[in-house]
Amino acid sequence: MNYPSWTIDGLGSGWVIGLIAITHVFISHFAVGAGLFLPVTEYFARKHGRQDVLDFLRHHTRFFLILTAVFGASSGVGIWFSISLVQPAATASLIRTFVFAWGIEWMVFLVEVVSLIFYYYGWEKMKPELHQKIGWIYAITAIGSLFVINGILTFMLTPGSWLETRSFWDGFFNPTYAPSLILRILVCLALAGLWGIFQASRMDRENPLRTWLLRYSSRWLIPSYLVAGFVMFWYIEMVPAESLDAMTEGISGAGAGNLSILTRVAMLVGLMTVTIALMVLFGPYLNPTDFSTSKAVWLLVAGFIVTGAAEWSREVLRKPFAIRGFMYSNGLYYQDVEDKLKRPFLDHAPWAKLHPDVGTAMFKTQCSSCHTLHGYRALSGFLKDRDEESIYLFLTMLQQGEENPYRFIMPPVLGTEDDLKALAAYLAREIEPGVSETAVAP
Amino acid sequence: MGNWLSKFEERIPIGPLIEVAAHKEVPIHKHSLWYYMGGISLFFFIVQGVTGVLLLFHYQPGLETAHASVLRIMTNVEFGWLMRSIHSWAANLMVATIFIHMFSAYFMKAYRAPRDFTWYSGLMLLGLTLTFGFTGYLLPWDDMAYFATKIGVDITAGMPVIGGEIANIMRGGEQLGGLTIQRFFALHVVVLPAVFVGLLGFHLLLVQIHGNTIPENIEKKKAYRKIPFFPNFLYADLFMWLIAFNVLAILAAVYPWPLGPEADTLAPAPVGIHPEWYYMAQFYVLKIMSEPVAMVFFAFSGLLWALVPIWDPTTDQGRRGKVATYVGIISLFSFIAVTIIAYMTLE
Repeated sequence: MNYPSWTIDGLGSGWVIGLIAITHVFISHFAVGAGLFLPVTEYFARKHGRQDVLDFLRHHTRFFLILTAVFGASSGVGIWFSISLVQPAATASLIRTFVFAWGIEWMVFLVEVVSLIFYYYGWEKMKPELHQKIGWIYAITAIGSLFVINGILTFMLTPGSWLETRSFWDGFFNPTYAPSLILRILVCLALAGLWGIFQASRMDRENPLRTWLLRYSSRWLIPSYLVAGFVMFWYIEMVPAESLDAMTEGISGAGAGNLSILTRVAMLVGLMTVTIALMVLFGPYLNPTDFSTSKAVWLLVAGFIVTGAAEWSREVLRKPFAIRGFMYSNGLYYQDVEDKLKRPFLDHAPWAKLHPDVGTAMFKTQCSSCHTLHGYRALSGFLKDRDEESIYLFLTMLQQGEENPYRFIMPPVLGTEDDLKALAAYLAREIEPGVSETAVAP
Repeated sequence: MGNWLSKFEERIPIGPLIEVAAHKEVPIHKHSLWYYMGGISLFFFIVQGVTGVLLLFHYQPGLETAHASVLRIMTNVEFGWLMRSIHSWAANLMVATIFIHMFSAYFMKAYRAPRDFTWYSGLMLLGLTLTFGFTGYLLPWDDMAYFATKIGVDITAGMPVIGGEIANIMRGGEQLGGLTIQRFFALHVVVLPAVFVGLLGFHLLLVQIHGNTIPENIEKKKAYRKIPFFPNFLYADLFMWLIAFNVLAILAAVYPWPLGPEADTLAPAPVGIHPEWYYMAQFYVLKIMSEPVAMVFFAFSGLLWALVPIWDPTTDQGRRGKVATYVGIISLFSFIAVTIIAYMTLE
């Protein structure tokens, strides 16, 4: 509430973060997975005298360097830009809470990038032993960066005892830290395999190395399929009960299925994970000769969708919080609700005074971090059958604490009765121009 | 194990089938992506069969029960909404892939002898699929289903001479009602599947006998290789089925098929009422042309399309072959363009 709001109708500001972050996660997890793929495969190739595999790795490193160090790094910066615009309060909290961890993260990342550059340029200029060591340094730092960022990401969903102790370590090693780290490492290995398959599929079909590499890369997905299911159960066990309720009970009516979109997307993640395994089995593993690059692209697309859907599910699972139990997704502190709930909204949102009227200020500051008027999670859809009076009554319901049925997915709305009426008038006007004449009695 | 296998073989001799599969080869070239469309259509048909049976356990045809039972499927039956959503989406995807399959077969000249009967049986399968869609659309008995079907039946009634009688048989009287649901249900779950499976068997048999067509320019340049059907092409087919399955799962889960309010036969038609996308082009033509002219146009163009093996029978890329290609391009783009215009001009 202490920062200016940044809204994008249509796509929604949340999806600006989402699109950048999902792409970044897809690339960065590959960076970690391939951080192991490269030195492990190099070790194997040197041990067995496979010069053809070493030649492939040198080629693969170039592709890997460009993809991760250029696109991965720039999309990482993009996340910082977008989160500081969309979620400035939550970003500030994360920086304050984990300043030490961020420092380590950037140190580790620096070593990771430098070692990757050395690894790439060292293929022809370094002694094999030194080159292999550089590869291991890269692998360790890549996992190290995941080790750190995983603590901060999981903290947002399960801050655990940090809420009472405010201890760095309690927040960092929170309840979902361990299962999440293992899950992410498994995803990294699987993505390393998928990208390896993609690279191998581009080789000449007659080259016997192609078949060997397709099967070898396929095997990198095996750990995920052996362990991921169990770890997922562990992860779910650690998620707060009220978040799981949002998954199991759902909120949608018959028209949209009787499971919430979160549950349906989470089910898709599980289903598509299995189908990717089968696609790898029937494609590059059992039928490498006839496996084409276009099919490899399909595999990557499926991997991207699963990554995106899983990250989206994790984000939605956190609703209505940005940091569970501490800060709501619109930047409102949990502890401030009681004090601010029915006070004039503009008193505690100084930037909101810049908007032309209270209704606009209320929407931009309290609603737009999750909703748009006519695009993603469109209020024009949710409120289409309501007039202004009905919208107003709905808003009053969001102030009813334990009686509010939406409390597990939406933050309470701050404001006096007049503020709520102003917001209702704004929404009625924007959603269906011309309807606002049926005004709520003052 | 060997003993068991030999006993099985003695009773059900599948050896010759395995022998055929082992020697069957499939050409691979830059256009071989289109070969998968028939298999993907078959996959969606299998999905239709499985989900259709599951829905059949709960659906109750009848004026009082049809809508209520679908509502119960969507709200009370575990994953009933998902089964219905998959059934509806798979129906649309099946129509789409059969269309793609038909156009790809057309442009590869796969209708020419000796594959002309494969072409005819394929067109009949498309016709049956569209009839599946038409009959199934009414079964939930919600307002969209009622009014869209009413328009469809009224169009049939407008056909010269026999139209009125056919429409009465479809409706089971002068108006759409309980008997219409009963008749559409019987067609949808008994008659059409039985005919479809028989015809599909014939179509697949012809495909096995004649193999895949190689486009003329690729054949001349010998720009293709051949791979064994079993296991190589089968694995590739399964890979494509999994992609199709993923697309279906995403659509069914993220965009569950809706159910409107129960049909009110006395209410005016909802604004913007329209049929499914695959009937939209015809729907638009009927809006801009008088009905008898439109009917003659449909009959003539349909006949021209179906009889392409007769008017373009040669195996060389002669003048008629080029005309056929132009006819195909114009038909495809007209269908897409008119469908888009039809959606854009909806109220």
